[in-house]
Amino acid sequence: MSAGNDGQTVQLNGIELYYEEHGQGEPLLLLHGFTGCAGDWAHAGRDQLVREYRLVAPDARGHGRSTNPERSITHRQCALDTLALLDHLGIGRCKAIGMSMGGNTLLHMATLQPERIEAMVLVSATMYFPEQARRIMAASPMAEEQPPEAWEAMRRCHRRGDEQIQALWEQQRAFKDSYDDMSFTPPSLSRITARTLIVYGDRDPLYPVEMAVEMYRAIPRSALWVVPGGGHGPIFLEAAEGFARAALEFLREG
Amino acid sequence: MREPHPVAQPLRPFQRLPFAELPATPRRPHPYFQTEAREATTRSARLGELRIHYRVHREAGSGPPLLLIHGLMTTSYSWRYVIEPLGRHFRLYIPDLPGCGRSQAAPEGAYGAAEIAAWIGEFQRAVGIEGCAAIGNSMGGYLCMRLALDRPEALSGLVNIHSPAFPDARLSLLGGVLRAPGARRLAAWLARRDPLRWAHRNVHYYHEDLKSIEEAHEYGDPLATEEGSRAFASYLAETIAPGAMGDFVRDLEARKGRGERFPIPLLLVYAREDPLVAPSNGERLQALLPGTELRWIEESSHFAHVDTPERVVEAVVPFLGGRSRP
Repeated sequence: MSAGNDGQTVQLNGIELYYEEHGQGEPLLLLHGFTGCAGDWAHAGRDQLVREYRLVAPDARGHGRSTNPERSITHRQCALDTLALLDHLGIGRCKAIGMSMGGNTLLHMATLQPERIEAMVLVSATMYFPEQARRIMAASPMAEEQPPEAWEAMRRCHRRGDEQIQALWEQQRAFKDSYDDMSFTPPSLSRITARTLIVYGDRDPLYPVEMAVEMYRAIPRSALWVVPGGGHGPIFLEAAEGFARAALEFLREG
Repeated sequence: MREPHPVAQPLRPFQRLPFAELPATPRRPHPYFQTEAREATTRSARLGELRIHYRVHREAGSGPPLLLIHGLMTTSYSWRYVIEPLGRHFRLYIPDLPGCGRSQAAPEGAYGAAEIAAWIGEFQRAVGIEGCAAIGNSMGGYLCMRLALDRPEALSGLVNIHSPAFPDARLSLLGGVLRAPGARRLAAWLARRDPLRWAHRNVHYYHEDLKSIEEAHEYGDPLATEEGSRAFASYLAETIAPGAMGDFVRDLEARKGRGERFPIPLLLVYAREDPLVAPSNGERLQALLPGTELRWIEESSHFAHVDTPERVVEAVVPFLGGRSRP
């Protein structure tokens, strides 16, 4: 099954999941952030990553070319979707990089089926949504309040119509009342067996840098990289090359 | 003087060999004892903390995890002939259910179908395979269906090999008998009295010449203890109790009435004949579950994965999305 670009789709968990594969070698799973899509990785070091790995980059449910009849999204469901994608591709164990929602998804995957993830890089992920994040989520403009540039940017990523984009903005605000989906504790994270690199900007408006340290203390085989002056997802554009180099080096070890 | 046993005369389907003529080891070899033996501790409110014996095959990264759940009278040993072919596509996790095989028994009264089904989810959590796919045989298939109905996110897909689903006369009678005071102790004693012959008599294959003393021990030894024989009686009295099974069927009927499909991908695999579990269970289930495929297996029993493992693997692997990758 193919659909636009060089991607394919697979039916799983009640949705049509779109994913792209680039390159050869060991699989490396790339999970984009909320309101993003697989194409984002082109701006976060994909050209370097593809030289060493076979990249597997899905559009999460409700994003890009993937469907989501339910309209609502939880990170746990994204984890089940991604595990099903790995099942479909016959991938027993792989390395992964996840950005924000993608990183949160990896936390679920690495605790549901610890053996599946050999090593992972978590960029601006979180154990739970702190108050400062909820205030930002609550202040998310609704679809009608979004400027035309925002709509254009979203339409470049999300190809299933304005309804899809509206649902994403609704979910963005709805996260302010989400308590059970992201509710990891240090004991629950201690089950993670994957080598984990935690990447954080020291001035991420959503998550205080203390969250990175809490995850670093909880995840047994983890390392921490705090990007000076970095915000949420400090890995794009000028930062991409440095990020890709550090990620590849970390994933290579062991 | 005994009539000479006709040598090299093929057995009729389901024709049982006398116990005295069982070979020491099965005529068809298998890698069950080469799988890795492990123990996990499961914790649940009703069953408490249990030490669970399970086997693992092809651990290191060769494919997605796949859970195999055996049925009544058997143990993880039941899956011995599909370990190798399934292991080419999946990492296999094969537990002995509580009170079966080498696993610790749960307290009496904790063997309700809902409880054991939930326990399967506990086992997944204990070994880190939540959300994986599963194959269940007979009672194991029934339990996995219940788990999927209770918590669809627990299993990504399910193959049900010849499970009971509809209370029938025999089950109702058995349930009634076991409710009588002392009946359970009696049932346990009967099993315990001559466990090897009990196991031999109460497991029915299409190809009975697959049996062996080795198998009689695998299935009979757990019954030789008070703990194991009581657990067996509990499964009979509580897990496949016709009352709860009736509720299960009514739930499926209600869902069908609302136009709901089974919440996860489901494949039904049934043998055309079986002395214990009526093949009509398969047709009746399919009628309640629109869109669910039913594959019939010829020349087999409700232990289709023992009698005809190749045909089962051939049906199951494409359904579960198995694909070997280098």
